[in-house]
Amino acid sequence: MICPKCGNKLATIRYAEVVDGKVTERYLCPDCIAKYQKEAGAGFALADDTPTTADRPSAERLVNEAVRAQRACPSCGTPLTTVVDDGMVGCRTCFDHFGKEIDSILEGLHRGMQHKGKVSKLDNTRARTRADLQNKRQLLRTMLKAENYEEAARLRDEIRALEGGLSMADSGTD
Amino acid sequence: MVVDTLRDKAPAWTHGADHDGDVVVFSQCSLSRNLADFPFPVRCHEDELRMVEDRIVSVLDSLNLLAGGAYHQLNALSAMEQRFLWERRLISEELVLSQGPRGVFVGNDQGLAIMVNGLDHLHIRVLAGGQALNELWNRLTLLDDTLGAALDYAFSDRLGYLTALLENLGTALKVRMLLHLPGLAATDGLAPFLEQAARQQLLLCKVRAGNLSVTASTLSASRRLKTSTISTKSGMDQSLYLSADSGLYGQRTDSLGDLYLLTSQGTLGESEEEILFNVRHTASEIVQAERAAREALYGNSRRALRDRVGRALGVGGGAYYLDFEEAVAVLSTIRMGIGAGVVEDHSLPEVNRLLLQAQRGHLEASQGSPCDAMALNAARADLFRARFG
Repeated sequence: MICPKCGNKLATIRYAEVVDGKVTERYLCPDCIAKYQKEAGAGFALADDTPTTADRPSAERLVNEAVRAQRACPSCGTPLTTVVDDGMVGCRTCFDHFGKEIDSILEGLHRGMQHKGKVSKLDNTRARTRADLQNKRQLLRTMLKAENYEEAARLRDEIRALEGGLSMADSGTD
Repeated sequence: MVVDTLRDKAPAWTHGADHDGDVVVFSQCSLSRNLADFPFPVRCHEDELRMVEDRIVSVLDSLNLLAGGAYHQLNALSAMEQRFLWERRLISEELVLSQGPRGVFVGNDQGLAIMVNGLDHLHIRVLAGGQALNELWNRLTLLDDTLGAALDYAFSDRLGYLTALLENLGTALKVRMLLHLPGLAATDGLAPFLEQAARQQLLLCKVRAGNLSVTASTLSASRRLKTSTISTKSGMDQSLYLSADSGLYGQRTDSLGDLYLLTSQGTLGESEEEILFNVRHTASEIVQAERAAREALYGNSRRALRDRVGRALGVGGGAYYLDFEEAVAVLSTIRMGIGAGVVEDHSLPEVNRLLLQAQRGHLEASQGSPCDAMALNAARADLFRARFG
């Protein structure tokens, strides 16, 4: 793809910047990377090996990095590192949970940030029920692991009821 | 065995001699979709994967689609069968490297593959010979609408169809064409198209000899997947490896058999029509330039072309050991000769079929058992001598 800064050369370098736990990722061409390096000044240490005072990590930065390492999707458990390093998420909840980071990554990958084209004809109630189902299944798994069989049985019945409701709605729309 | 039913049936796309079939070997469109009430496959437990698979297969059944093909569970297929299907573009490398219950529905014309539980719950792929994007898109979108009405897809108004890889979401449409560009390659005419493609968010990639790794491994990260397949060259790299990772950079624009893959990249912020238009438009320009380049190369010098083609036919008709690279080079020359009208006894569909049959998975399927590199080279030579001898 073309470098978004100059619009001239091919963007062959992926540049990721982490500041206070916020990740920004850009695809730039070699010329613009060099320009950015000059502009950013002493704080930019991507290609520079000689240690400077800016390199010594502050306690705050270390804490932020530790927090970042622990952040994971509450629904499927995908860690932030997978999202940032591999460009991969585990479920639809990841999109809400890692909103900012995902948006940064998407900026570097696609032409726009708003979906254009076909839409899925799923009404809101059905969509909510599906999201509900995913969460309940996840919870059921957790209850089984915790050996809380009462809760698990209750969840299982709720899941069955929801699924039944959806399929009845299916056959009802003939 | 799936291989027995498919082996002697050429896929419908190999017949694509019209629609610019002299330059465009085949076109491929695919859509990725996920169900709304399950995590994406990489985060599903085995029983969830089974539920997804059961649900999708029962929908295929209820829509009477199963009658038009067959569903194959991947774990029931041998490594040889998986490689065979992969070479026919009916399963993706991601599907092979994923784990748990998964499979593929293959349509009878071998121009439709519905993969279940690869990187995404559903990956629907359609193939046709030559430049056939309109026809492909019509088929694909109709199927998508039909399946979507029966299944609830994971979809967001802002981000479109949700997929496991962020590079796929939005329309989740990928469009690819395999192009044969001996003229542009010989006249150094590819560079302007690299830039033009990049401006349209398309990629022109080289094709190389590769191998499908069918050993058990985890698909936990796409990046890991990509680095693992760029392995050291082995004698068993005897399949056409088409991947959006083999980009063309700088001076090195040579590619196996002068075959190049034109592929769309971005999926968000553009509509399906825009993506299709960009690929169609760029491909048309490349086709025109390729024909002009071939004319410039051999228009005034038929003898030079006949000489080249004659030598290629000689190798094809006389060799007793034929390695994969040389076989593809031979087919490339013959293909160009057919397009130029200097080869009367052979046709584009025949060359397309040989391009499939010369690969490792296909040769092993015809031999009925795995082969080592030497045996493959011998079997390939026998196949070519039977056609060109």
